[in-house]
Amino acid sequence: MDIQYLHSIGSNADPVAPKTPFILTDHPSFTFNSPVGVCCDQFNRIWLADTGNNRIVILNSEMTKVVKIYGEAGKQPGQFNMPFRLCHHPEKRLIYVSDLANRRIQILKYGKNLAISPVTVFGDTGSHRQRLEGPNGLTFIDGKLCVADEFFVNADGGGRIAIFSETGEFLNDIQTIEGATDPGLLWPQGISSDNNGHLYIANTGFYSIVRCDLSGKGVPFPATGTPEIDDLEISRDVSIINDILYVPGGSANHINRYTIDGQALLPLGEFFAPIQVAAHPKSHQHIIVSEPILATVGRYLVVDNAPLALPEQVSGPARNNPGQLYFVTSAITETIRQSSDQVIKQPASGFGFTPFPLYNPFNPIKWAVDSLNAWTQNWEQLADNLFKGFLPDNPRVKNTHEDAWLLDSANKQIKRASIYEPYTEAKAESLFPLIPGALGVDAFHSPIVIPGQLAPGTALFLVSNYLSGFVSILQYNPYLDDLVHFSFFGGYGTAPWQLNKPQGIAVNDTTGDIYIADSGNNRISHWRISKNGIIGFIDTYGKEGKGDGEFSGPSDVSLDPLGNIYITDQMNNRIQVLSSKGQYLYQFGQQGYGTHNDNFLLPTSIQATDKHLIVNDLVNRSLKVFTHKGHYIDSFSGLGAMPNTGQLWMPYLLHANSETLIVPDCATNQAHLYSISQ
Amino acid sequence: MKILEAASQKKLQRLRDAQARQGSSDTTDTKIIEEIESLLHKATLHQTSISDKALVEAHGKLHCKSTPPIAP
Repeated sequence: MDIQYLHSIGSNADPVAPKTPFILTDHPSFTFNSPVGVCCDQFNRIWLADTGNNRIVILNSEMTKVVKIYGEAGKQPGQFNMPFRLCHHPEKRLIYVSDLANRRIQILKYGKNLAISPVTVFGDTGSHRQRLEGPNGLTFIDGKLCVADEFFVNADGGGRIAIFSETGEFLNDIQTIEGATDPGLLWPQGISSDNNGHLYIANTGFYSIVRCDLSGKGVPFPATGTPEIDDLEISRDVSIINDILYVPGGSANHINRYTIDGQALLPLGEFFAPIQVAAHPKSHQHIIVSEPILATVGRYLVVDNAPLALPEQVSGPARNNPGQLYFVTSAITETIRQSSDQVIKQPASGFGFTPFPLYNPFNPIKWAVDSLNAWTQNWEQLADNLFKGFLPDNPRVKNTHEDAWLLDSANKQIKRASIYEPYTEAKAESLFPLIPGALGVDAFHSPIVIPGQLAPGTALFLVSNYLSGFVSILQYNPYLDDLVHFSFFGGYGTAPWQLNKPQGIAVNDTTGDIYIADSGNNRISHWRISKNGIIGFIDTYGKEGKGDGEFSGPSDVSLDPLGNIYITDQMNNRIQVLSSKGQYLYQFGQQGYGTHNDNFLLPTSIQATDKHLIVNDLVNRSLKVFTHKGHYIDSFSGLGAMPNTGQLWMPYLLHANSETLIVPDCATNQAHLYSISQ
Repeated sequence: MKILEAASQKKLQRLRDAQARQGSSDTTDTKIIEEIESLLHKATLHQTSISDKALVEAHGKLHCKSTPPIAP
């Protein structure tokens, strides 16, 4: 068993590479790709880490014009693999870049005319303690550079802050915060400092901001009595601007604000997954905010005592150029329809039918059921005859082999791409629109024609929506050349028949059973589509917990040929297996680091093939292959955004058939294809 | 690996707390959900395109209230 990277779907190249400087509105095809870090230089220009594109984009202070684009993907000085955060030297014309997936810091020198050159690279050599494992946030304090080393792992499983001289000599590190409530640092992403010699660390794994001095001694906030500001929605970064702490994402889609003493101020909204806040170089009333999922960076006016930051300039056009993907979340391989001679004309075994039997004695229930079946049969024959000669010869429809179908969530489309044509042809083709919030997708191939199906022989698409909690069933309408509604079920809530943040979805082609990872309700939801096209609720399986058959944030489901259900029990860091009727069978995996074992850190997606299971182990950035019983076999791993390598940043709901694995990465905005050899 | 374990415990406790809060005061706008359900009924009945404008707008209202399930 072997996984080999093949190629990727989704173009990140600029369709027309504009010459700098240029005005952004003159080049709407110029887009960012999950931009993260922001800082300003001594000439009031704004430097943006265009992380998914492996480059630095420099904007004028109004953020209307791109004045320079620097860097490309690679390992040499001046090249990057996920340039993440940026930090200006306190006095000199130097920008420090955390080159995250190259596991190093780069120092760039610049001049007034924006001649940029790499000065040095450090953090990628030396002993385990001297080397950086995942440099993220950067800040200067007392002439020293402090680096939030997100993926460093000490003996206790914790992370650290690494401290370097301004020229890159390793000096020390901070692994525990004396006096803190939490036992250490875990995946620290952001860092900032004040004029009193204090560090502020976004301790992401503990959902807190922790304050300490350079020796690691905690400095309590008067407002909390501890060195922590706790209970944040997420803690990705912290910035200090005019003695105010800004914590992007500290509450849902808001930027939390605190005084330097830890007193909460009104949070700023409304943003969407903001990741960094920086001071504007010309105005104390403005802040700069990057929002990677929206692929934008914006300048916002902050009004005292108002809960809103008013957007004045948001840069970064939508990623809707031909071939581009924009928060791609899910994939399947599918033919939208089979050729007419492949349409199944007879009911498959298991759906046997005897037309209009005689009943003696008369049984009204059986009569009703059989009558419905007879209607189904008639519809099937009618539909078969209707469509046999009239299906348009649509060039979008391929009859001979499977395509990849990608759920391009932020573009609100399902897009098709060939999985067999590498590189130049491997671009998604725009096709069918979707509703905002669409997340997971699976296809249902009915063994018989379902009443109401407009194009018999085609699959029905089931699409989960994490915003509304509904699952839409869509069908292909050959006359409109569009997907149209077929049915729906669910809806936001906690009642058994409702769903809360549904993610992965799987449907059994033979039985019509539908299973949904109802992540917000910590359970698996079971529905069934009957041969009459009626969707019925069956049951839910599990509740919140760590026991057998209990779940904590289940994110994906998949079915094996026997109908057993494989579930990524994400927060419990394990895979659970249930029978088709929801009976607990077994589990495997445990919390832990590792790319070549059965440890998991946020297993996010799973696919069962005939013989294997493939698991997307998110934090370990590893695609792991197991037997159905959970014995580890092989893996493909690697954090990064290097083109044509299959490296992973935020891989999401994967899909595999017997030969090909498709992994949508919603941060690099590509779907990577891998071959699976037996 | 005690730090991983401690973080895991904290994460699970937060999840439980969030669920308890959700049970006592659900912030999702039920009127919007009802509106979406009604629109889905109509869309299914008439087999309209799934890009139905009203449906898109109704989901858009929920967008700013919900954090993405996965983010860089």
